[in-house]
Order: sequence, then C-alpha cells, then structure tokens
Amino acid sequence: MDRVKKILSGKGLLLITIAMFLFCCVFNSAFLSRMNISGLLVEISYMSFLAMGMSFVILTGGIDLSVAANAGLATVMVAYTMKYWYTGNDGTTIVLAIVLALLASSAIGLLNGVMVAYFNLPPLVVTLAVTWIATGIANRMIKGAPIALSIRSFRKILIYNIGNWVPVMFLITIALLFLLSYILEKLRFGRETYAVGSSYYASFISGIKVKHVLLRSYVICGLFAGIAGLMISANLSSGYASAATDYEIYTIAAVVMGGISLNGGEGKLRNAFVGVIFLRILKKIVVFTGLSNISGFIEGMIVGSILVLVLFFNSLRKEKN
Amino acid sequence: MNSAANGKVKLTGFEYLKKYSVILTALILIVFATIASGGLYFRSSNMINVGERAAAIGIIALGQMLVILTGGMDLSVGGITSVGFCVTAMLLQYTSLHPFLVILLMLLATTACGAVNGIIVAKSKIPPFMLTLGTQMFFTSLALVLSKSQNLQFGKQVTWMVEAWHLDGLAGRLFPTALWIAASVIIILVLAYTRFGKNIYQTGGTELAARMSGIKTDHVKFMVYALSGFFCGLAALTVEFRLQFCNASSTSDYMISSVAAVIVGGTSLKGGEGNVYGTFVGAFIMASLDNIMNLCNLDVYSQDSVKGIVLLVFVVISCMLTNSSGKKVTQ
Repeated sequence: MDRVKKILSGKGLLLITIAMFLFCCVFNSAFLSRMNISGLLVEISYMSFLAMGMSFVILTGGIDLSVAANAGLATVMVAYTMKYWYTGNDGTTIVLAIVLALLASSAIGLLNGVMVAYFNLPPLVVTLAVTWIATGIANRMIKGAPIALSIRSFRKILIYNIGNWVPVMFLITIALLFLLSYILEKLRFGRETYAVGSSYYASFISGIKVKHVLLRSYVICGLFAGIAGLMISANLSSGYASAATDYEIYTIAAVVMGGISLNGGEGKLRNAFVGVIFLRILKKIVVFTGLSNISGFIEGMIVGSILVLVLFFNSLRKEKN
Repeated sequence: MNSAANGKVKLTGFEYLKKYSVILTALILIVFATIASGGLYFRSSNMINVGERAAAIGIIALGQMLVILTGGMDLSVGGITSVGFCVTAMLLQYTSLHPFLVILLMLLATTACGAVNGIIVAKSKIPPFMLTLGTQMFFTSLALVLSKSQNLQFGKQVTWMVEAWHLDGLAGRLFPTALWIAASVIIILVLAYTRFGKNIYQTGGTELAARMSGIKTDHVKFMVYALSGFFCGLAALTVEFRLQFCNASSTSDYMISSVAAVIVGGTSLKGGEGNVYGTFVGAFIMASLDNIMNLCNLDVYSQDSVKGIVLLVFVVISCMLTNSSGKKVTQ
C-alpha cells in the first residue's frame, strides 16, 4: 500500500504524465506538430489558471464550484465590451475589455468570499448558488447567443506563439506558477493560507485574521478564473456563458490528483499543475486512440472513474495516518 | 433537537420560527405571486402547470433530503436521472420488452447507480460531495455515450402508460403531481414511524453517538443513496411522461434545484434536522419561482440569477437559524 501511495503522490503523477506524453509521441505521428503542441499548451495554460485559483480555495478547506461560470462570465465581458463599448481604438478597447472582465470575475470571487467568510455559509452551496447567478448575468448580457470577438488582434496578442511552438501564455503560466508557489511556501500570505486550511481555531488564536485569508483566497480564485476566461475567449474567438462548462469538475479533479487535500492545509501547487497536464494529455490520448469515436463523452467517464479512484486512494492514505 | 420523535417539546420563539420558516416563506411567496402576476398564478391551469414542473424536482428532492439528513449530499442526481432516461429509451428502442418491465428495469438501473454512490460513501472516508461530483461526471458521460447524444424518445412508454393507467386528459396532467405526493407521503411515514427513519436522523445528528448506540450507520448511508437513485428514476419517469422526448444532457439543473428545494425547505446541511413537508414546500416554491418569473415575462436568463440569489438568501437564513448557538468561522 505504501508503494501505491507513493505512486499517487506528486512525483508519481509526474512520472505517469511523462510516460503518457512519450506514449503519445510514439504512437501518434501528428502529436509533435507545432499546431498540436501549441494548442495543448494553450489549454494547459488556462486550465492551470483555473487550477491555481482553485488550489488557493481548497487549501483553505473550501471549494469553489463557480469557477466555470465565472470564466464564462469573463469571456462574455470581453466579447460584450468589444462589441458594445468600443472606444474607437483597438488597443484601449482591449485594455478596457480585460479590465472589466477581471473586475467582474473578481467581484464574483468577492461575493463567494464574503458569503463564506462573513456569513459563515458552507462554500459548496454558496458557490453553487453563485454559479446560477453568474450564469444568469452572463446569459442576460449576451441574450443567449454567443458573441464573436470583434477585435482580431486580441487573439493574436494572447495566443502569440514564440516560433510557433510555445505560446507566450504558457510562459506566463509557468512564471505565475513559480511566483505563487513561492508566495504559498515562503511568504506569510501563503503560510497563513495553509494554516487556515488546517484549523480555523488554531489560526485564529495565533492571531491570523481567518476571515481575511478566506476572503482573499476566493477573490484570487475569482480573479484567476477571469484570467482563464480571457484565454478561453481568445482561444474560441468568442464569448458565451457556457464557454467553460464542466471545467470546474476537471479543475477539482486536477487539484485532487495533484495531492492537494480537500480538507485544506496540505498539498503543493506544482502538483496541481502536473494534474492539469495529466488530464489534458489524457484527453489527447482518448482522442487519438479513437476512443472518442465511440462518443465524445468517453473522456468524462474515464476522468470520473479516475477521480473516484484517486479519492479512494487518498482516503486510504488518510486512514493510515 | 428534532422533535419529530419526542413528545411535546416547548419551543422558544426562535425555534418556532425555525420549524415553520418554510410556511412563512410560502405565505410570502403567495402574496408576492398575487401582486406580481395579478392573480394569474392562482388559475387552476397554472397551478397544474406548476405541479407538473415541481414534481420532478420534488421527487428528486425527497431523495436528496434523505441524503442531506445523514450529513451528506448527492450531487450526481442529474447524472442518475440522465441514466434513467437513457435506459428507458434504449430498452424501448432495441428490445420489445413490455413497457411496465421497462419502467421496472429503469428504476433498477437508477437505484443501482445510487447504490454505487452508497457503497463508496459507506465504506470509504471520501467526502460525499466530492464522490458524487465524480460520479456525476461519470453517470452523465455514461448516459451521453450510450445515447450518442441523440434525443431520447419515450413515445411507446407514454402511450402504454396513458392506456393502461387511464392517464389521458386531466388525469395525465395530474399524474406527476400525484406521484410526487404519494412518494412524499410514504417518506413522511417512513421517517416518522420506522426505525430506519429514526436511524437516518440519528446518523445525521451525531454519527459517532449513533454508531455507539448500535445503529449501523454504514447501512443507513448506503440505503439513503440507493433511495436517492430510486427517486431519480421516479422523477425520470414523470419527465418522460410529460415531455415524450428529451436529451440526456438536459438534467444539469436538477442537482442545484433539488439541493435548493431541500435548503429552502429548512433541512439543515449539517444533517439530522429537517422534514418532508419543508422539502415538499421547498420544491413547490422553486417551481413557483420559475412559473411566476415566466408570468412576469422576466427573461429566461435573468431567472437563473434570481434563483441563485433566492438560494443564497435561504442559505443565509438557514445558517442563521441553525447557528443560533453562535458558532462562527472561528469555530
């Protein structure tokens, strides 16, 4: 059992992911093409932002099911701003769109945070309700029909590829990953987050302002969902409320597989990142092995089963302790 | 303390409010409905409409309430209902089984799905909401895979049901509501008068204490999740009857709506507290909200936001009433 536990910890997941990547390279001649790899890296980038934000929340012992709706709202804000609030200049409109989208998603995060921290409501139900609210707002703005992004250069800027291989977005993601890992592990900001996740009471009596920590973790999650939404809208060249549907489950799956405990206080950010890569490569495998010809939704079954298995092994590990 | 099983207990003013909060809500809703829709709400044709819509959510909410009473939550209800639709449609299309048998097999399938949830929750320490989130993905995907994302047809079954059970015209429109009421009555009786029912409350109240008094909490938990699956199947039946065809992916709203109905009905998320009347009224309130918003010509999209806000308000109220002992974040 010890060996199994080791396999499913961070290093093990990394090895499995690398193995899967090599499997892809060997069995699919088209895998190492520029288009494929850069597309994969774009997906990894925005899923990572979702996962990083979610990790912050889960580390405090909560959960945020509204990230998908939040990201969708961000895509809608971008598209809507470009269409209806055009400032006469491409550049400033883009800036305006980005600012408004991030404000909106941070506001949703703020709503979550206030409800959880100051009203003491259970995060699960709060974020479910907020999903409804955010989806409603987003749909109301676009009246149910997707809006295409009217400024082409937005996509070019965000998905700019270096040498056609590596999207700038991906490098930003890596940079932010390092930055956040550093914050979480070395700075007081991060250590407080871990502390609150371990025990509200202990943190409280050590002088940590628990409510502040909770609040900011949800705001960060909202903000990052917004950033992910920006990338998603660039990728899709449009904005609609359900642009990120079901992503919340994949995000949680990635974070859980990366070893971040749902009770809070435990786990490393970089492992969540590995979890994201694992899931994206898994999706690629499902596609090119032809499994997705049976149905596009086979991936859902596979990820669902893997999630349950990982949860099961995690719970065994906890029992041992 | 749950006073369903005890004798007369003197309630403080606050506890009185807690117990009957859902009735207060219903009254507010009725007043609001009258004002907002100018009396349209109370037309019998409209009420029948509300009943039809409320029935599916209401039946699912019954199962959801049982699960929440034990301190868990079943987020996979949407997926299990989808599986129910899928099983029905596939059996109708590919076999020539008698429609009644199809119904039984569908109920068996959904109960089995619930049982899968139940076994895993009972035998491992996985938090129910996480587990059911995973199984939700699995079941929904399973239904979509099996149905190849096509629209599912239930024509044969509906025709048979109308013939065999004389469900044409008014009787047909009342069937979902009748089924919902019947199921609710059964659960009321189970919860109040059987040991199983009392065990459910005890398991949710304080699990350790329940186990120490000899209650097999594992069995209780398994049963409530299996029952939740069963009720999903029952709800699927009413939807099949009403709509004649649908898509496996149209059940995504059921999960939040059923949880909302249970919370609005006054069941505590911590477990051990709540009753069927509340859940019944809760489901009715959620369906009425939809209905009233339609009558007011509020656009479909804003309706989602309104429901979300209503749910938030109710969660706040519910938590305020439950935490009257003053437990804060700094617990």
